Amino acid sequence: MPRNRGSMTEAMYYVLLALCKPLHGYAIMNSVRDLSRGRVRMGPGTLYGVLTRLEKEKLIQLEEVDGRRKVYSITPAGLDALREEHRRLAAMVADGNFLGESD
Amino acid sequence: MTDGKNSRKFWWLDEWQIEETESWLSDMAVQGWHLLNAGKSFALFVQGPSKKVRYRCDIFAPRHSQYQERLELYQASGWEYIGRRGKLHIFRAPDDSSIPELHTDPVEQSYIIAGLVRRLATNCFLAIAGLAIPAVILLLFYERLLLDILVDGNTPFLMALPLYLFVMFLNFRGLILNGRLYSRLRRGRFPVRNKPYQKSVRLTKVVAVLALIVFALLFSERAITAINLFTTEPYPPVPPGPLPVVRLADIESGAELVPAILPGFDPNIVNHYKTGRSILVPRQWHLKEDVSVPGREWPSGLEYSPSLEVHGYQARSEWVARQLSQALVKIDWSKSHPERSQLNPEYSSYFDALWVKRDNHYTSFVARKGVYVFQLSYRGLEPSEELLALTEIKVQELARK
Repeated sequence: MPRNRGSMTEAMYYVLLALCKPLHGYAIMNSVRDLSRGRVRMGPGTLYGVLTRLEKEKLIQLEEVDGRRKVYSITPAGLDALREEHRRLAAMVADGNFLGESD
Repeated sequence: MTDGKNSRKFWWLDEWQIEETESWLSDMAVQGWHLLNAGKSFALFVQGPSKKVRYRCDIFAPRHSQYQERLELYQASGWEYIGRRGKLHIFRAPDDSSIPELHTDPVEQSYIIAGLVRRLATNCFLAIAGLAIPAVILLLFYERLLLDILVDGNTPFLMALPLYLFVMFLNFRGLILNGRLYSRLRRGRFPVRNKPYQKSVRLTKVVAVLALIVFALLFSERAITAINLFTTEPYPPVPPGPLPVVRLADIESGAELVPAILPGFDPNIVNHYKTGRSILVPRQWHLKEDVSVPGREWPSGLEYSPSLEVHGYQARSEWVARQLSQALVKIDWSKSHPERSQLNPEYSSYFDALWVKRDNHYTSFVARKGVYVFQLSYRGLEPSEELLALTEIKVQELARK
């Protein structure tokens, strides 16, 4: 899996998160913005780059073609990868919790 | 933006010069020229008010299943699709921060550039292989290659070389530029905005003009040779009087020489004199003579009939002359008589290089002095030393002119 030094890129993580519910391209962009509470505004070039790679790596799949719009959803392998990344990130946050306590 | 006047500009930037292309198009917009259509070789601009706009390029396959949906999403995000050059799609958006960049994650973008780098690396490898394989085959199996290049001017292979090298230059530069862009993106940095492109355009123009000049020179050389082949006599008669090369009248001085004629053939087929030229060897002479000398006999008692064939060359430089003389020796002699490809300075100290082979009544040599090279074959009763002495005189006369 082409990831940034073993971890997922932020864009990959949020796209997988958004695709826990089947969505088409534009809806994924909106979902990413909502999930990140407006922090992540994903450009369309980044979105399609991520979709192409995730589909090739079988972490997402084409659910249906709604007119010209394609609806994607996460695969079981994608869900495993997402959970693993979530655990890793959570552990990283937990490891740094003392930083918040000292404020 | 459609009622202004149009202007067509050649793409001096390659389609893989992404950052430079974006800068150039943005600069053109500031000057009031807005991209209307992106062709393969020319960009069409329309004149309008000066505007600060962002141009962005993205790489994706036009036949991909997501293609239409992708273009629509880009437009819905505020990016107007202008056109494409191959896989490079060009978009435009106002210089307004409410419209996000096409690529908001440099590391993600690096995966796209990695694909381009792989493609360019493959192109470079194929380009090198495409050049090296025919070159090796020619060098191994076509002995006359060097002689063809030096004497006949060029080969089609050589003629295509400048254009081929220009394409290689573009590919290698693309590989280096995109390799740098890839490293930048992997470090989490965005592509350079407003990247200077003028130097790169100048370099492309210089290399392109050089390649075209070399190609035109080689092509005209070939064209002149082809025209000459059809317009000049195949066997021009030997003119009277002294020639730049040794002739039988110089060797058999005073004797009456009666040219031989082969019945049924061109009367000059065994007695002719031609001149030629090429870029590297601008003066060339070829003399062929076959005569009989009434009243004189071979030791066997038959009528004396000497023959002579001389190729004379004046090369552009001493280095070229050296290559030419070695190629002549290698092709004509080395295979049948390897021992005869050794230098024979004992025959004459005048020449810079001399190869002589001598049998009964037969002398053949390749001699080089400075930029002059002579290849001579003589069947007759005069000694080799005499032929070399006469050639020495010819070289001195040529050098004086």
